[in-house]
Amino acid sequence: MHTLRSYITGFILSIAFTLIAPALFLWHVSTGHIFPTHQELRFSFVILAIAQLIVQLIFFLHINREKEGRWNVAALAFAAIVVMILVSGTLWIMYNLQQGQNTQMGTFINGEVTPQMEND
Amino acid sequence: MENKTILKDKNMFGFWVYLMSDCVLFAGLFATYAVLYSSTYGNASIQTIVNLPFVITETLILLTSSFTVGLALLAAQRGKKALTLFALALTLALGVAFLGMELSEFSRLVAQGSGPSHSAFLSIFFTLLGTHGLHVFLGSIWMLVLMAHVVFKGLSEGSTRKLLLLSLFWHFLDIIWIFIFTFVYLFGAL
Repeated sequence: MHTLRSYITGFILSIAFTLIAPALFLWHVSTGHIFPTHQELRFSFVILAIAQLIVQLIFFLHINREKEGRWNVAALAFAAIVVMILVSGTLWIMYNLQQGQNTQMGTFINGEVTPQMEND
Repeated sequence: MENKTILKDKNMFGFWVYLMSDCVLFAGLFATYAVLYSSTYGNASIQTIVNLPFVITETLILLTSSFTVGLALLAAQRGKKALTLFALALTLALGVAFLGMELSEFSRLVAQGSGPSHSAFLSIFFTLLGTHGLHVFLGSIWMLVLMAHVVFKGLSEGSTRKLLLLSLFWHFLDIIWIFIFTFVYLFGAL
């Protein structure tokens, strides 16, 4: 299970994934920030990070579906779910909070200004 | 003998559960970072902090140390004491080099008046990176203790077991760093 070969494979792949991201960024700078676009860059950075995560899980942490490691995978899956709920939930709530504050500010600016606001 | 094997598997699983809960701790920090990264109040922003060659060097150092800790584990499993110690020493040196680079970045920021209390962004930046750095620091101490153990008591089933847990911890820190590299530095460079 723990073999030199798996560590070397993992090492080479993770180095490669690490260097692709800045290479894409340099390409972006060299074309005058036009191609790839920011959106495409962000997308590829996320894909590269996930690829890197999978490489590390398989070749370094030796996660597999063997019988004795099944509960480890279950714990990992549960952690992944909690992480996703935590991160996406936070972003969703804070985005809505900001939207709400902006609308409120908008009514202050466009509508009647309260005396308190004038003091500010 | 049968009982002993079960106990060891429990140790391993317990440590794995700890790592997964640590993962949730970092998720909280990452979420906070995502919310606050633009709240710079005129002080340093992530764009002014990012120095890509510097960060890529940090990343390569940490990736290499993740590889060498794997080599240490392989050597220990084959009963090669000298090789185990050499690979561990190499891992420790890389870990310390990484910490040195991180601390130099921190001290540079503090010196230019961008300490952790100067904006919400700087607070979470220092907290996120500092928490990761603290893990690396504690892992380095653990490694030092384990090396002393191997030097004085030799390789045993117990020390190899501990090395397995340490290697899991070290690979885990590497994964966390990949996400810091991507979401803090690469996204910040855009």
